[in-house]
Amino acid sequence: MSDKPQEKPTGKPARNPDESYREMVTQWERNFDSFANQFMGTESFSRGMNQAQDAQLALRRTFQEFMGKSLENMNMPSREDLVKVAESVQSVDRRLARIEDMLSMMLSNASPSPPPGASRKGPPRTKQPPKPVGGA
Amino acid sequence: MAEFDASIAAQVNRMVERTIARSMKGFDYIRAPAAAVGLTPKDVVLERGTLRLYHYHPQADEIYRVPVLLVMATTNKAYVFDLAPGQSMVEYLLKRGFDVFVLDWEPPQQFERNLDLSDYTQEFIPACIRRISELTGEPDVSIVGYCMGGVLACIYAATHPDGPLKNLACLTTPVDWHHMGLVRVWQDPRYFDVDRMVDTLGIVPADFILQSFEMQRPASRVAGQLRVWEQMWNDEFVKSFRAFERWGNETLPLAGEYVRQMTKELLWENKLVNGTLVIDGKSANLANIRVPVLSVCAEHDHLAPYDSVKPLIEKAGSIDKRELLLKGGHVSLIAGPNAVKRMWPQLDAWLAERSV
Repeated sequence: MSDKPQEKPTGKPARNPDESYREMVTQWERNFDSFANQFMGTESFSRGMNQAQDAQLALRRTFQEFMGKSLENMNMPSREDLVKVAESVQSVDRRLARIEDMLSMMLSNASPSPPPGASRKGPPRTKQPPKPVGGA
Repeated sequence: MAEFDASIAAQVNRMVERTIARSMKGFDYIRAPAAAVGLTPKDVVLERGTLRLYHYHPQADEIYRVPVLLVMATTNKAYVFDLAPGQSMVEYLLKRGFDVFVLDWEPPQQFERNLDLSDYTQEFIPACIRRISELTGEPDVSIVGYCMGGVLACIYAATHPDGPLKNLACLTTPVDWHHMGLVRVWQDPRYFDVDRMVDTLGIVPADFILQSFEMQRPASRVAGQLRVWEQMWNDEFVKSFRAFERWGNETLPLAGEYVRQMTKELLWENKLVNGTLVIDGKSANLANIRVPVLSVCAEHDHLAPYDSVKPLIEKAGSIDKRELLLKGGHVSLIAGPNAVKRMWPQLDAWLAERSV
């Protein structure tokens, strides 16, 4: 089944309803985006959007502080306390990673390096780029 | 007249067939689980916090000497490079004889909120390169960075002018952030308080990132649904659409410090293109880049407009440098049926010559 437009006897291509639909959607999308971008690209939109975001953040901060104090009164760790523990674990993790890196570098410096192109495992690394077609 | 009637009859026939197929497949579409993505066989060869390094199994009998590291943007998952068999850039490169590694990102956790450009470019990328060198025995590597992954790759290249980088290909990589369109208006320093946001949230949520992408093309989600309804009879289209839709929805949160630094130093002060960016005491001036550079831009890219990408080639200090401006948008440049024909063969040809 072909998707090519059918020919009318006049020689002009017939309107395929599917194509018309696709064009209509594309046109609508373009117009809508263009209109919305004009509106959203203004300074007043940016100011309004950021004011709304600031209000949301302020609310969130107040709630975080309230929760933090409540947990402290109940002698329970807050999310912030748990994050601090996780941060110190991460710092140990990163130190270990650095030690691992140093060790592997020392080991690779100590062992004789394979000749260029000699793969440690897998297919040989000897592939050459294809020659240009019609080249001299 | 008989021909005209036959043509009308054929169209009506096709419309009826497709309407039936839409109704039948529409139910499957609604009920179907998330699209299967990232199916090319691979191993995880490095895990470090948010970082994942994958090594894909070679698919050619003979491969180029220099391995390739694809660096994904920090905002999305790397399976856009490997959407589905036949629509996978990774699979394509493997079949063309490259040894492919992919640097992917997991959502950063609260304890990773202090990660910044220095962690990404001076720790994560070098750690991946060291691991690749261990696994392959090769001293150098080519990097292909996509979007923000390209920015990280540029900063890495500029701060490591003595190697071991062999080639740098940047796909839709913005370097002049004063041309970032709507994002620049929305994050106007007079109204956008990045400190308050980062100090309050720690990690910038994925919803915020997704919204800022979608607000730039507010009609695209509805238009996408209208298109997929019309194409519901077309299994290939639906499969591809669902994979893209899944990828688009799986936007990642970002470490707060990283967002703060990007906003202040890249977006507001435009330090990358001005050559004044300093990371860990090292100059990240693009003029420090000496390796061959390929910059691929998309004509209709609304996230990294051409004007923001263009200066990379002008500013890079390399002798061997090339810009490619291709048809398509920010995502269709790297994935989907058009990428198969347009970008991938060009990337393959450019890398092949420089990977021996």
